[in-house]
Amino acid sequence: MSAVIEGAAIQEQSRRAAERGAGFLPRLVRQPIAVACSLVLLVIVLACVFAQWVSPYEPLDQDLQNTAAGPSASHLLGTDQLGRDILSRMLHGGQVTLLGIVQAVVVCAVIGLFLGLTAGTLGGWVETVAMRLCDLLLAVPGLVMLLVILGIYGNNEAAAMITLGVIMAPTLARVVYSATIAVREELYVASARVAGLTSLQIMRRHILSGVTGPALTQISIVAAVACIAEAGIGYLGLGVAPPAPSWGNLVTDAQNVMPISAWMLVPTGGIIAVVTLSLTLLGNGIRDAYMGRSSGSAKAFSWRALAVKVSQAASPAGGGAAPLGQESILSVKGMTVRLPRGSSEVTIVDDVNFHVAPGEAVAIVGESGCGKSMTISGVLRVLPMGAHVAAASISFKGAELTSLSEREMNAYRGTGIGFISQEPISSLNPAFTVGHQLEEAVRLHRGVGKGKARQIARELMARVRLPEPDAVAKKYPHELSGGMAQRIAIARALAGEPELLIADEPTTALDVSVQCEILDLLRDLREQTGMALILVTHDWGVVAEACDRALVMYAGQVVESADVRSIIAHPAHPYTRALLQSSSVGIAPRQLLPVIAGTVPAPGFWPHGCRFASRCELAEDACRTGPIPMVTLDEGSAARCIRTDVDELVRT
Amino acid sequence: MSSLLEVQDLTVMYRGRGRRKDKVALEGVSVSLNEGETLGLVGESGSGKSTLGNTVLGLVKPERGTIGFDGSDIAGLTGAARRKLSTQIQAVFQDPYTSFNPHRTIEQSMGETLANSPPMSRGEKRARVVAMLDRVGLDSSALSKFPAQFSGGQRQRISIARALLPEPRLVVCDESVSALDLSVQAQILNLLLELQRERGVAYLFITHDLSVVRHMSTRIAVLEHGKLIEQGDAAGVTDEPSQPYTRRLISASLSADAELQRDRRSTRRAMTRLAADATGDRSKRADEVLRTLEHQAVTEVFAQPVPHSQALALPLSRGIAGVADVDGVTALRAAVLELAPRTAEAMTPAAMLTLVQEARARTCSALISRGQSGVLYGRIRDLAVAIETGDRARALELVGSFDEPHEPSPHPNGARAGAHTIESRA
Amino acid sequence: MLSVVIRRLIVAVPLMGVISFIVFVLSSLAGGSVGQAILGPTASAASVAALNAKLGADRPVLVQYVDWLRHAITGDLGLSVVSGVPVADTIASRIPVTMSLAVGALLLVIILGVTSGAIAAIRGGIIGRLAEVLAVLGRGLPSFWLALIAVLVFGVNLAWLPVSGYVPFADSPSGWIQSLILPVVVLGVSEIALVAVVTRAEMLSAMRSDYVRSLRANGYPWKRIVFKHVAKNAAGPVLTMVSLVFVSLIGGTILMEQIFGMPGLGTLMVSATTKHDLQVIQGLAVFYTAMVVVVFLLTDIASGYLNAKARAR
Repeated sequence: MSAVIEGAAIQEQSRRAAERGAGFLPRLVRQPIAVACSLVLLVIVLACVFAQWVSPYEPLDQDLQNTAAGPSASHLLGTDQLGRDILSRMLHGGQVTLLGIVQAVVVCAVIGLFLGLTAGTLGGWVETVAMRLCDLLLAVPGLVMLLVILGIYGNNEAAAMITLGVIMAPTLARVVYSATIAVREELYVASARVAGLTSLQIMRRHILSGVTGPALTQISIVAAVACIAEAGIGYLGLGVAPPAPSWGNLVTDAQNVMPISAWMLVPTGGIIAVVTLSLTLLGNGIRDAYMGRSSGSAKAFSWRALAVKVSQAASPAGGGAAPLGQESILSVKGMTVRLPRGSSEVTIVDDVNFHVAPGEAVAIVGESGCGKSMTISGVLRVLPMGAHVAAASISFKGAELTSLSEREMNAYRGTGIGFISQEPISSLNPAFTVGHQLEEAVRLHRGVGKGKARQIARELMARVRLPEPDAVAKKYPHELSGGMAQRIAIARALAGEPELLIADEPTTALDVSVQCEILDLLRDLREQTGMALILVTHDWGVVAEACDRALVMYAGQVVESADVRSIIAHPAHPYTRALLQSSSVGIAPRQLLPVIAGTVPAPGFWPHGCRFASRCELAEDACRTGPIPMVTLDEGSAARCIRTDVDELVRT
Repeated sequence: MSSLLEVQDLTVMYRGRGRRKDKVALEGVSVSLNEGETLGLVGESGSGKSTLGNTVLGLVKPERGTIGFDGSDIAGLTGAARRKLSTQIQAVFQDPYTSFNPHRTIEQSMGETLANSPPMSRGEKRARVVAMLDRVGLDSSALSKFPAQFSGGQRQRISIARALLPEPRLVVCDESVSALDLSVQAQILNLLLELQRERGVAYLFITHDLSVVRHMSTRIAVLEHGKLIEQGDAAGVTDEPSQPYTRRLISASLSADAELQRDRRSTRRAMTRLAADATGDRSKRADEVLRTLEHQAVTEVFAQPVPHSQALALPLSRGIAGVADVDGVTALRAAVLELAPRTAEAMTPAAMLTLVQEARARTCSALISRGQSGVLYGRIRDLAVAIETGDRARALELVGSFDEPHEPSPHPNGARAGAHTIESRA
Repeated sequence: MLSVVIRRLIVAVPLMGVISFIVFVLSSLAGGSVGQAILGPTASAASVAALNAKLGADRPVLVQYVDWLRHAITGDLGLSVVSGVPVADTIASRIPVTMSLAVGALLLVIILGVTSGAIAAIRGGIIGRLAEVLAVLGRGLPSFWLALIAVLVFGVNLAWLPVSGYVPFADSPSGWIQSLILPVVVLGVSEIALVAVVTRAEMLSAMRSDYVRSLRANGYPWKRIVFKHVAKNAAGPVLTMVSLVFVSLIGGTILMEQIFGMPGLGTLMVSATTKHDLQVIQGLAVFYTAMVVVVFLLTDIASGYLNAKARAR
């Protein structure tokens, strides 16, 4: 599943990047909110800096005729209790506040960047010392420390703001540090070192480019905090001494005239709010631009949205894979899976038909992006958000799954159909011991008590051949090896005694020797219980080892389905044949391998006719004109190719 | 030919931080690689194969040992001296998605590897980049694009182009094709082989995939837990591995050959049954194992591109002298087993091997006592011919018929084994 | 578990030493001795020097610090140079006010923040977006300004609640609650959305994980997945966020106490600051730091319980 989503996401990303020119600044410029915030900040900063010339009155000019007045033509934002023009006082007061912000930000940026970058790049004891120092500073309550400094140094704003900068530095240092070590571990830094770049060049080209975004975001937050802190100090009367204005003591003035007129609260508090909000939003914009997201694209993801839309499609013309008279445990007819992309939907799995006989092991084979994982996810209805499954019929032991609600479906998952996934360790919850998770599954699926569940769990662990079950049960998933974790996952899937086990690339993440053990285990379990198996894989070796029948998928369709031995010995579809030849088995070492040119077309870019036509040597005009049906070849085998007759000639 | 890369007694430690202990990543490893050839490094996760590559690349500092490159030791080089080597030694890493800085264009990323080449003009540089991109099958429109705009396979092509840009003599390929789909993987392997032929570059090819390493390498080194297990030319290591670990590794690697897979499986299960069967009739089970082993041996031979009948040739030529004795026939049947190096000694417990050997001697002596050693000898000879001519069906039929002469009698083995026990008791 | 506590304490104790030392050094560097502070700027140099000698303030900084530290360990934080009252007693008498405020606000933040974050993660829709917007607003709007508006609306215009003062719980429980409502709500309101956003994000990332996919595919009921498996994984980061929120709430109490006229540590701090009462400032700095350290310690223990990986480290 992940591969498909990843593939789609990358396409999406690349398309977007291509549209946008992909540079960081151009992307930032395309964020309307960020641009608007920058403009607002620019106007305010310029107005304050040039207050002497811009402001209509001197900040201390009193108009005693006109005290505590609301906005008027002569005083755009009204006057205070002494009749001083609020706008003028705000502009002049802004100089104090903005200077304070700059002081705090500069100090914070210098210390934070220095600590973060040196700790991140040098490592060793420097890293330890710097990060311990950060831990220390993080435990200091900011405002308290500011008051301490003000208490000691008198109403010295600069000292307070510099202290604030120091106190905020560890947060920035941590952000820079984690961005640096993230980049440091990237392969492209290793490549740059192999390319012979000096440490300084690597720092400039790679580390800084990786750190800029997070650092700028954090710095804008620091600026916002500094603005509020400076205003807070002013409000407490600890900053610039009145009558000189600052944004903070203007709020104090507003508080004093509150009984007479509440108006003054609006502009005085408003300006602080506007500046801090702009800084925060600008920070969010920088983050989004850096991560390549469009502004405000917080996706409406939620648990509820995970529920898959299921609809019953009209019966397909001819279900090629459904044999007559043969009983099947699972039968899928005309299943299509669509995922949302942007505002529309894209088809990932297209009209898939297959069946699984009791006790049978069926492989679904194909390359990434062909929809093999999505096919089984569609059956289980465990899909990414917004997915849509339509099928003529998905029947499990005679029950029609398409007509079931999510809750009713749960009666089949786990007990009728078990599931194991590709990444054994991450498929287990990191927060619970594996023993607990196994017992939970047993209690859930068998409705037994605690003691009995523990006993069954131990039996299951023995069945999946885990050594020392009691010791293993007490461990957390990250303490297990991949092979052991996969055994636990299998045991969990077996807890409900399923009649069909679905395994999504169960051995891809494992070492070869462990892979062999797991496949042996699956085979033995099947023999003991008569359980059927659907195994998704890209590895023909696994198919040959573990399965009876194989479905080959290409670009969302099943293109061939046959008995494993015959499909490997005599592949009917050109894609199957090419895929088998691509593995180096049977080719003399160091000779060129026969290859299929090009790549699998991505979902949404599938041609109308045969989807393999553009990569196929045998393609002719008829292949491209329209959809190709599944052609039945022998008993139980079929291929989506109209030129299998030619293949036969070519082969013999 | 003198070797290009000569790693001697290399030991690498990863220093534990805090309460974690130091970890030995490589211990006294020595490997060598000739100019223009490929040394495949195989092993499972944690075997230290990537560490060896990174040490050669100068990304990891060795604790001990030397890395001879073109005659001089580069193990401890740092700073400018090490950077100078970047025109000689390059790398292609595993993950095509993270091996490029997402914020830099392809031209910027590729230009990096020319940092230590003789100074050249911007135009000259661009021309070289374009020529190299063209060679790996991409056009010059790629220059101004960002990595995200390419597929995994395309990016790996660009990685290769970047590595070969300064015309290095050695390229470390660390799991370069592991993240790719089968069909794309084949394209990239072909590209690497072609470039090696054209430019005579040597590869240190690191992978966990045995079939890929066998296809790509001239020499193969097998690592386990930081130690060198076995090293030799590619065919030798994969076809006749001398070390148990290598055999285990090879026997565990799955093949798409369904028939071979089935035979290997039945051997494995026969062995498990034999091991599990503590009380039952073990000698009968041993016969079964012997048969599965022989059957597998023949399928193995046919699954491999190089025929191996030479393993049979020597016992056959010796066999002419004393056809009738048990030892001679036993040796012949042992030679058949030798065809399947993946199932010989050490892969199985010694006790089990003794049982199989006993079973072999028993059936052979049974055959001789019936005067059928000549028949058996003839069949083995036919088998050698069948293997030589590539007649798989005939070979399987022959190996299946080894024990046929005494098959009609209901329990010949059991009876004999029983007699045997009585004799030994007496 | 015990080793985590011990390791944290090993860091925490020196931390408080360092903080108090920094404050000590800074105050000695600031010029203006204790004697000067007591006698005021008009006092003669000779009388200041005499007082300094009497108080021991003419000794080297390090000696003074060690002396102070020796007493501090026994709970003696010295005498206020302004009022002459023991600093420790003054602080102790004001703790209930500040704690009522901070803990009240924290409870409000946890209950509303976590609930709305969880609802947003489960049901999606408008609540999630609203939380994001409110989080930006909460960070952007100065709390003292919000407090003034609240006073204006609920205290003055609607006259529902008292706008100033603090009623001890012992005097009148209902009065205590009434006096706390406005400051607690204003103090907490800007942090609620922040906690909601983190809760939502952490729950969503757990919901996207591979293990939740496996649980769903194996037929676990959704309530068990969300309220057991997702919740335990999201709890760690949320807890860390809550501890950071508590630190910021403690800072916020200073402003709230000032605005609502409550006799807590914050008003003590502000008055000590304006009066240069160094002994009180020193004592408060150490006390506040101790409070933060204790909170971090509790957080560490709790997240160690929640996260096996953190415990292993």
